[in-house]
Amino acid sequence: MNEAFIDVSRLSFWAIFVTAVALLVPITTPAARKWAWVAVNVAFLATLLSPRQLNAVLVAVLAVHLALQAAGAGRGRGLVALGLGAGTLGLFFIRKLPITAAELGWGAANPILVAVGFSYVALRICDVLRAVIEGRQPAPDLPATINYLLPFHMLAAGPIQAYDEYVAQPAVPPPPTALDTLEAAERIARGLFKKFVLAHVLKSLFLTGFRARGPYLLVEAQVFYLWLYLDFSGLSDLAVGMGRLIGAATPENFHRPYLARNIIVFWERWHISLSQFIRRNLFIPVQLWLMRRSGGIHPLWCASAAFIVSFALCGLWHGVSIRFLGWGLLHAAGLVTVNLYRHYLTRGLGTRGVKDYMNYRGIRVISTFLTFEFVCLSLVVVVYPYSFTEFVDRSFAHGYSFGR
Amino acid sequence: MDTRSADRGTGDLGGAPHRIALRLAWVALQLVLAYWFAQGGELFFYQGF
Repeated sequence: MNEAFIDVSRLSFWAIFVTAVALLVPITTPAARKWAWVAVNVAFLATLLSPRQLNAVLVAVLAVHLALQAAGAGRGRGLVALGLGAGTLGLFFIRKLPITAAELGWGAANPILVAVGFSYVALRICDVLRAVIEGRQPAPDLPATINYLLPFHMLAAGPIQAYDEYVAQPAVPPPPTALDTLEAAERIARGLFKKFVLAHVLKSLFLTGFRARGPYLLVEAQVFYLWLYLDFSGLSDLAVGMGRLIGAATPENFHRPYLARNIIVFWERWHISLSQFIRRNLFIPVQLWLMRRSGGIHPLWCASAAFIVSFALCGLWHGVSIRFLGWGLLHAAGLVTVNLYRHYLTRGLGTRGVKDYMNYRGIRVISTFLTFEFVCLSLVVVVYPYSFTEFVDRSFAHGYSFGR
Repeated sequence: MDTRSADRGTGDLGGAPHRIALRLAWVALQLVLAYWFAQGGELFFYQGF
C-alpha cells in the first residue's frame, strides 16, 4: 500500500542492475563480493540523493552499525535497544507525518527517508536488532549492515527480508545457470508487464480515485484491489527476479492472495514478508507474554488480543492516521473472527468433520468470495477520499455517474 | 520431474527448442509492452468515459 517512490522505469535503476550482475556474478571470494555489493547499493543511493543527503544516510547506517556492535558485544543492550528503537521510531514518524515533521524543523530529513523507502528499512532495523540482542546472530560487520538495510533491488517496495534469512544465504552463491537466467528474466518481464501494462490499463479504464457516485463504488473497490495486487506484486516479481540473477536471496511476497479462503490464509499469501515480520516480531511475542501473564488458561483470548495489537500497529505502519488504524483493526477483527470460528467448528464437528467441511466445494467458493470482498471493502476505508457523511450523500442521494 | 539439479552448470534450458523460443518471445513481448507504457504509451482504443 506504500507508494513506490523509487522509479523502476528510470534508466539509472537498470544501469545499476546491469552493473550489479556484471560485477557480482564473477566474484568468487566472500570479502570481495560483500564490498562489491556495498559499492552497488551505495552507487544506487547516489543516483537518488544529493552528496549531502547520501552522507547523512551513510552516517546514520554507521550509527546503526556501531549500536549493533555494542549490543553484540553485550555492552548496554537495554540502552542500545532503547536508543536505536527510539531513533528508528522518530525517523519513521518524520517519514509518515511530513507536515508535523516540517513544523518541528525536521522536514529536511523527509525526502531522504522517502527516497530510501524508510518504512521498509525501519522494519529491517527492528529485525536485525532483535536477532543481535537475543543472541541468535552476531552483530553484522559494516558491509553486511549496509547490504542488509539498503539492498537496491528491495528498496522500491520490499520484500522485508528476515535477518536470519539474510545471514543464512551463501557468502558466494553459485553463478546462475542458463535455466536460472531464463526464469529470472521471465520473472522480471512478468513484474514489469504487471506493473506497467496490466495495472496501468486497469487504472486507466476503471479507476476514478473513488470519485464516482453511486454503485460504481462497489465496482471500483474490486478493480482497485486487483490494481493494487498487480502493481505491488509486479514490483515484488522484479525484486525476486533481480535477486536471483545477482545471487541475493529475495523472499517471495505474494502467492495468489485473491484465492484465499479466509483472512488468515489471505495474510499467508499477501505481502508475505510483512505478515511474517508481524508474526515473529509482534504476534508471537505478544501472545506468549499474555499467555505467561494469564497462566495459559485463555489461549484463544490471548491470540485474539495479539491479533488486535499486531494489526493495529500494522495499520499504523502503513500510514499514521485514523483510517489506517481502522483498516488494521478491521483486519484484526476478521482474523479474530476466523480464529474463533475455526475453534468452535473444531469443537462442534471434530477434526474429521472440519476437514470434510473445508473440502466442501460450496463452502470453499463462498468463503473465497467473502474473503475477496472483505479485502476489497476494507481497502475503501483507507483510499476513499471523502468523509462518511459525504459517502452517504454521494452514494445514495445523487444517483449514478462515473463522475470523473 | 525437477530437472534443475541435473541441468545446473550444463547450460541446458531444460525444454524443447520451440518451447524455449516461445518463452523468450513472451519475455520479449512483455518487455516491449512494458517499455512502451512506461514511456507514456496510452490505450489507442480508449477515449475516456
